[in-house]
Amino acid sequence: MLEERLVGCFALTFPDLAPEEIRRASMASVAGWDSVAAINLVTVIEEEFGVELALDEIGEVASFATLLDLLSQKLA
Amino acid sequence: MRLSDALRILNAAPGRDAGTITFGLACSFTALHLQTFLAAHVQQRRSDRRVEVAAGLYGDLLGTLDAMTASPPEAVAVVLEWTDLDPRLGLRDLGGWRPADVRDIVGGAGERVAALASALARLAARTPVAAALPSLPLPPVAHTPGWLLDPAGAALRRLVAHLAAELVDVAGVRLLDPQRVDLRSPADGRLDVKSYLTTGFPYRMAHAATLAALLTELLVPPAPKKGLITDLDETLWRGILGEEGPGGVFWDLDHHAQGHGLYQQVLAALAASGVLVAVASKADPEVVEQGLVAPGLLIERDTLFPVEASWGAKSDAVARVLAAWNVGPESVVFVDDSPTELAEVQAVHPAIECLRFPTGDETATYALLERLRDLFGKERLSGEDALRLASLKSGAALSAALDDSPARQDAFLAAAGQELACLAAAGDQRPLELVNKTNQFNLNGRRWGEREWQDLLAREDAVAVCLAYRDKYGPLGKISTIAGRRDGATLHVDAWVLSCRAFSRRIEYATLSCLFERWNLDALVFDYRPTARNHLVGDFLATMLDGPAGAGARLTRAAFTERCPALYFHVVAEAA
Repeated sequence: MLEERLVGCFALTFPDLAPEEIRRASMASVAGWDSVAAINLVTVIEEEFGVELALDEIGEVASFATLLDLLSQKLA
Repeated sequence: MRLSDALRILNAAPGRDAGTITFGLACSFTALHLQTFLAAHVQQRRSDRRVEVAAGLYGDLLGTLDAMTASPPEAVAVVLEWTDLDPRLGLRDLGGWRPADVRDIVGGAGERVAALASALARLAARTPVAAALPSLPLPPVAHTPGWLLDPAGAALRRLVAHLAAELVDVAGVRLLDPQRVDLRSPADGRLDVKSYLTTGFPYRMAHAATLAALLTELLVPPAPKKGLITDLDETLWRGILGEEGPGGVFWDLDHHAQGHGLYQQVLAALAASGVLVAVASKADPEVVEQGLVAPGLLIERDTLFPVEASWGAKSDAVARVLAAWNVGPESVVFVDDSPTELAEVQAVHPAIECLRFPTGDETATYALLERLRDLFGKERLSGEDALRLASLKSGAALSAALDDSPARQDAFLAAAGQELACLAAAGDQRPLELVNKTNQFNLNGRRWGEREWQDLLAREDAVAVCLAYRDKYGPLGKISTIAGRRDGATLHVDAWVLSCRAFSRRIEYATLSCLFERWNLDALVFDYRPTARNHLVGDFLATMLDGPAGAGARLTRAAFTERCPALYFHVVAEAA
C-alpha cells in the first residue's frame, strides 16, 4: 500500500516516467530529476503521507528505493 | 489547492499540439511552487490550450520586467516583496539592520519604488499586468518592539501605498487588493523561513496557493454575471407582503431587518452598474406593485425589469425573465430565502447560480453581499452599462412590433431612424469585452486573451471594427465587433459577435454591407464553428449561403447583395 502511494507521488512529479520505470527510478536515471523536481517530489510526499522530511533527509533521497526505506522507517 | 492537485491539473493539460499559451511570473525570489500553482489555476481557466508560466531570474525583478516588456507573454503576474525595495529587507542578505542601515534602506527605497512603477507601466503598455503588493511581514529591523509601529516601517508602507495609488491608474495594470489577501491568508501563516533560507522560496504552501488563485482572477478574469433575479418576501424585505401589507414589511435597524436594507442597497448599486435586476415572487401582481413602490425602498421600481408575480412555479417565472432579458442562465444569479424554491429553480435551470438569502443571519447576509460583489464586479463601467436596461425595455417594444408581417417590419424599421457608427476596434476595451462575453451571436465561441487580441489588431492586414447603434428609441451603445485579416479583396473573419440586445434590427446585414463597401471587398470567409449556443450565426450564414454554414464559409459580395433585405441605416464610418 505504502509503495503504491509512493508510486503515485512519483507519477505526479514525473508524468513522463513509464509506470514500470518508477520503482527503479533514481536521480541518476531520470533526466528531469533536478533540484526543483526533488523539492516538488518531497512536497507531494509530505502532502500524501502527512510527514515532514528534514532537509538533510532530502539530500539523501536519491532513488525510489531510498525514499521507500525512509518512509517505512518514519511511518513504522 | 495542494501541490499534488496542481500537478494533477498540469499533467492532464492539453498537449503542445493543442497550442501553448505562455504567461509570465515576475518576482525576485525563487518562483518554485508559486509558479506551479499559478500555472495550474490559469490552466483551469484556459482549458483549450496548454498553459505555461515563465518565471524570471532570481533577484533581478527589474531585469525580468524589462525582458518581459521586450518579449511580452500573454499576461504577467508581478509579485512584489519587501526585498524589491531593498534586499536587506529579506532574510538571505546580511547587509545590516543597525539603525543607520535602516535609515539607509528607507532613504533608498523611494528610488527603487519609482523604478518599479516605471518598469511596470512600460510592461503594462505591452501586455496585461496583475500585480501583488508585498504580503510578507517586515523583518525585525526596527529598534522598537514588534507591537509598536516604527517610523521606518510606516515610511516603507507609505511608499508601497503610494505605489499602489499610482498603479491603479495605469492602463493595463490590475492590482490585487491586499484586503482580500488578508482575508484569505492569515498574516502569521505566510512566511516559511526554512524554505526561504534553503531554496529562496519564502512562502508557505497555503499562502502561495492563495496568491496564485487570486492572481489568476486578475490574469484571466471570469465573465461577470449579467442579471440577478430576486425573491421579495424574507429576501428583499423582512415579512410577508401578502399577509402584512406594505406597512408590515421592513428593511431597517428598528425592525431587526437591516440585512434586507443592505441587500436592497447592493441591488440598487448593481442596477446602476448595468446589472439587470428582476423579481420572481409568488404573490398577486397588484400586491407586489404596492410593495415595490413603498416609501423608503432603496431600489427604485423602474430599475426592476421584469417583475414576475404569480402563483406558478418559480422556475417558470425565471424562464420568463430569461426570455425578456435574452440572456443565458449561466449569466444569471437567483436569490431566494426558500431552499425549496432554490432547488426547484436549480433543477430546471442547472446553469443558474442559486444563492439562499439567509434571513435572520446577519453574518451570512454580509457574506452573501460579498459574494454578489465578486459575481457581478467588473473592472470598469462602460457607457453600455448605463444603457442596458433602457435598451432592453425598448427592445421588448420593438420585438412586439417586429412580430408582425415583413411589410410592417420594413415600415417600422424605415421609420426607426437607425444609425450605425462603424468605429475602430483598436484602442478600445469594449470590443474584446464583447467578444469574450457574447454567446448567442458569436461566430465561433472563441475566447481571446488580451495579448492575442492586441496581436490580431496590430497586424498590417487587420480589419477590426466595433459598431455602435442608436435609433429614435434610444442608443444601444457599442453592440457588435467584427475582426479579421484582409487578403486582397477577401476578408478572413476571425471574430464576429452581436449583443443579444441588438437582435431583430438587421444590424448583422448592415455590418457586412459596411464591410463590403468600406473596404471594397469581394468576399468574406468566416471562421464559423458551431457551439452549443451560437445557432443564430449558423442560421444567418445559411440564409446568405447556398447551404449550411461550415468552417471557412465563403460569402461573395454578389450573393450578399442578392439576399440582403432592405436596410434603412445611416452609417457613420469612422474606422480606417
